Order: sequence, then C-alpha cells, then structure tokens
Amino acid sequence: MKLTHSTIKFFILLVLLVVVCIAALLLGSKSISLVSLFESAESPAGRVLWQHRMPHVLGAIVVGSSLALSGNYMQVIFRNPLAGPSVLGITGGASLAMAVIFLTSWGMNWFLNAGTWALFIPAFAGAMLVLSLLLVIQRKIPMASTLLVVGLLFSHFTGAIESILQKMAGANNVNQFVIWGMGSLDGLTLSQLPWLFVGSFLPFLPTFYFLRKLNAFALGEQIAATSGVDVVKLRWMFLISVGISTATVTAFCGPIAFIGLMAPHVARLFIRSFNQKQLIYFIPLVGALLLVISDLISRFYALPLNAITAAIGIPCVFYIVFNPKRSGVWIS
Amino acid sequence: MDKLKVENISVLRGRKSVISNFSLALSYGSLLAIEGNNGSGKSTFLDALAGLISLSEGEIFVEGKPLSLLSYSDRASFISYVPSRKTTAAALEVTTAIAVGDVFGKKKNRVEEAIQKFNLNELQNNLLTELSDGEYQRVQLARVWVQDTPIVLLDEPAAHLDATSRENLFAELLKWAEDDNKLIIVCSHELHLNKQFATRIIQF
Repeated sequence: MKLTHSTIKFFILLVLLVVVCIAALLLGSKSISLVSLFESAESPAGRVLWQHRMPHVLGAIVVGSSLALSGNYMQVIFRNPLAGPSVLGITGGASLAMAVIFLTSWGMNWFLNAGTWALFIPAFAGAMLVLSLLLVIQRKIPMASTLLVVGLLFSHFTGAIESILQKMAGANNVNQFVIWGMGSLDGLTLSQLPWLFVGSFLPFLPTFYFLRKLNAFALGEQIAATSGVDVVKLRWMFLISVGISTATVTAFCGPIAFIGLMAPHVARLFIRSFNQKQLIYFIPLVGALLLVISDLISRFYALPLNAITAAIGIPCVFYIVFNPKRSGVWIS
Repeated sequence: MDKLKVENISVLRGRKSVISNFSLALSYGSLLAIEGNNGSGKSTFLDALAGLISLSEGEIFVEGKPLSLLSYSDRASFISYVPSRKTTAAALEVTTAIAVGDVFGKKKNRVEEAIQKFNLNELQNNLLTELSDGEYQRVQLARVWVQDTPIVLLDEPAAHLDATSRENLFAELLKWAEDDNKLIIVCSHELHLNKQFATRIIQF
C-alpha cells in the first residue's frame, strides 16, 4: 500500500518536473511557441532554445538535484536540519579560491582562455582544503556539532579574506567576481553539461549503496557505531562526495544558496518519511524542480538567481524553526 | 562459562581517571545492574563495553575475542546499545528507527515481528520526536531486539518512566535475559528495582 502511494507521488513529481521544464524552455524575455521546439537549431527560435534555454533547464536539473543531495547528506550526518553545503564552509572554500583567481589576476587570463571548466580546479582545491581541515579537526574533536561550528567559522573567515581582496582589487575584477558571486546558470553551455554532470552528480553514485547505514546515522553516532556502521569511514565517504559535487557546482555556477537546505525538507514533507531509502528518489527531483522554477522566475523578471532561491528558501527555514518536531529537529 | 571478561581496564577522560584497574566477568542469561552516583563512571563503563571509547589500559573480551580488535560489524553482532534519552532523539519514523537494528538488511521479518511484539503498530509512521518517553523507550528496545545480540547495554532505561512502567520494564528485561539467554547490563538509579530483579548488582 505504502509503496504504491510513494510510486504515485514519484510520478506526480516527475510529471510536474517535465511540465515545468517545458514551460521554462518556452518562457523567458522572449516567449517561443510549442511548435518551435521541433524547429532546426539554426532558426531564430531554435537558437534561443538550444543556445540559451536548454543549457539553463538541463543545468538547473543537474545542479538542483546535486545540491539537494549534498544538503540531505549533510543534514543527516551533522544531525542538523539547517545544514547545507554553504554552512560547512565548503562553498566558502571554493569561493575563496575563485576570489583569488578573479581579484588578484593571478592566472586569470589562462583560466578565461581555458574556459569555465578550468575554474573547477581552484574551486575544487578550495573546497577540498576546507574539507581536509575539517577532517583534521574532526579527528581531534569528534563531535558533529563542533564540526558545524568550525564550518561556520571557515565561512566567515573566507568571507573576510574575500572582502580584503575585493578592497584591493581593480573595479573591473570586482565587478566580475560580484557577478559570479551572485550565482547564475547563465554561463553554462550545452558542451559543458556532461562535465557538470560528471563532477556534480556522479560522485554520489557510490553513496546510494549505503543508505540503510545512513539511516542509522540519524539515530546518532553511538547507535550507528554499535549497529555495525563504520562511522568514520562512512562519514567521510559521504562528505567527500559532497565536497566534489559542491566544488563542481560552485565552479560552474557560483554559490547557489538555499536549494541544498530546502529541497530535503520539501521532499520529507511531501512523502512524510525520513527513510533515506525512499527519500533518495524524491530529493533530487525536488531539488531539480525548485531550481528550474527559481531559474525561470529569475530569467523572466531579470532578477539575481540567489534572490529568488532566498525568497523561496527563507520561509522554509521559518517553517523548520517553528515546527521543530515535524521537520525533525534533533535534540542533542 | 564467562562470555564477557573485563580485565584490568582503565579509562581516562582528558587527564582525569574515570575508571582505574577494573575487572569483571559475566555470563549470559543474567541481568546486571550498575549503580553509582552521577559522574561515578557508570556511563563511561557502558561506553567502554560498547567499544565507543578507547581504553588506556586493559582489554575487554567477548567470547574470548578482544573487543578492540573487532570490526564495527563484528562488534555489532555481539553487543547492542541503548544510550540514555537525553543524548539521542532523531528525525526518523518508528519503522525506520527499528530497522536500524538490521543495518545489513538481512532480518526484514524480524522488524515486522518487533513492531507487533512491542505493540508499536499504531505508531509505526510517527516520528521519534513526536513520541512520549515511554513510547520512545519501546522503540529503542524493539531496535535492539531486532539486532538480537547476546549482550545488550541500556543506559538508565527507566529514567523517564512512571513507577508502574519501570517495574514492568525491569520484569521484562529479566525475562528476556533468562528466556533468550542474554546478558543485559543496565545503569540504573532504581535501587529497589535493582534489588528486586537484577541477577547481580555492582557499585561504581
């Protein structure tokens, strides 16, 4: 009975995503008709569709689902419903590395010539640096909540250095960095999408085999460990996949806030379950749906993407804070 | 035969010695109650038995095997653990929380059985955060019942229960230990219940 219920919900969500995606392809600053979906890529409508809208929509699906999985894993592993990639300082680390590239002009020309994918290198280095530091600190103080505080401090620290770099950099460089920092899918092209997919979604594949063990994590590390879960190994397997994925997304699109935090909650409320083995089908779909919608609104009204995700995400945070039991606030 | 042997163990928390040179030997089919004031090291001892903290000296042997050399999964086939409520509460629905006792996915029927046995039918879709203390305790017991280890550790299982439930809990624990040949170890402040039900009492 329950299985069929969730299967129906899964297909409802899938149909909704398809409908929203078609709407996102047709709507924009210049609306195109349904028929032009089948026109050649050389016609004016075809060019808008294939060069501009298709990368946006497909990119939003990949990025949204990846961010949602990152947020979900972090919320379970840190047992904190307000965790997300940006909270642990991983986005901050990636962002700082990008700030060095954009604001000091070191290697800037090389990176611009090599294309957006090359920005993955500093973003990944920055994200993994923060992750490694967290790993060292975690060995000294093994409490999840401590790690969360340290992650927050990293975010503030990288933000502080970025502001110093901004103060010292030229106006043009600052401008580029600020635009990147707004987070957007504008820079994506169709040829980049496979790389984006490989870097942001594929790292999660191995984690899908360990969802039963992830459920044990939700009961706390003591119970997980005494239930037969190698907590240290599992925690790092999940966090490294989060690190690689977040770095890729940040390199291609800049920091995108709230999707990772919000999507897991929406999915949990939608299927009324916290069982990772069920949630795993819904969380990526919800993440994709939220980002496709946010991106559509952002393009339609020419507003920054992060302003839209925040407008949707902040009420979600309020819901979590005011309904702690229903949204699963962990007492510890 | 002694299945659980604690040999001269010492535990340090920071620089403070919490347990020093402690030994104990226990067999299955019994209920052991650990008594002691707050901060006397009861919970630390339980953590050590669960393999959650490292010993500064000594070793714990389960069926002759040194605990420190066992993998997480081997350890989990010998020892299960219910921490005190104040350290654990989680956003999982009851069924999924009970299934944590079956982390390798090999005892699906036992999860169903546990829901019936512990009378959790009507609560199975509720979140743990929505349960009363007594209901939460039942879920935890169901979880370790699914895990089905010869040694079960319980940290103050009666702390948040009313008088009748406490007595029932202790009676059930003793029955479980004797019927299923388990070694059940509880930290407990309920001195009269310890006296009434425990096979053995140790002071910390």
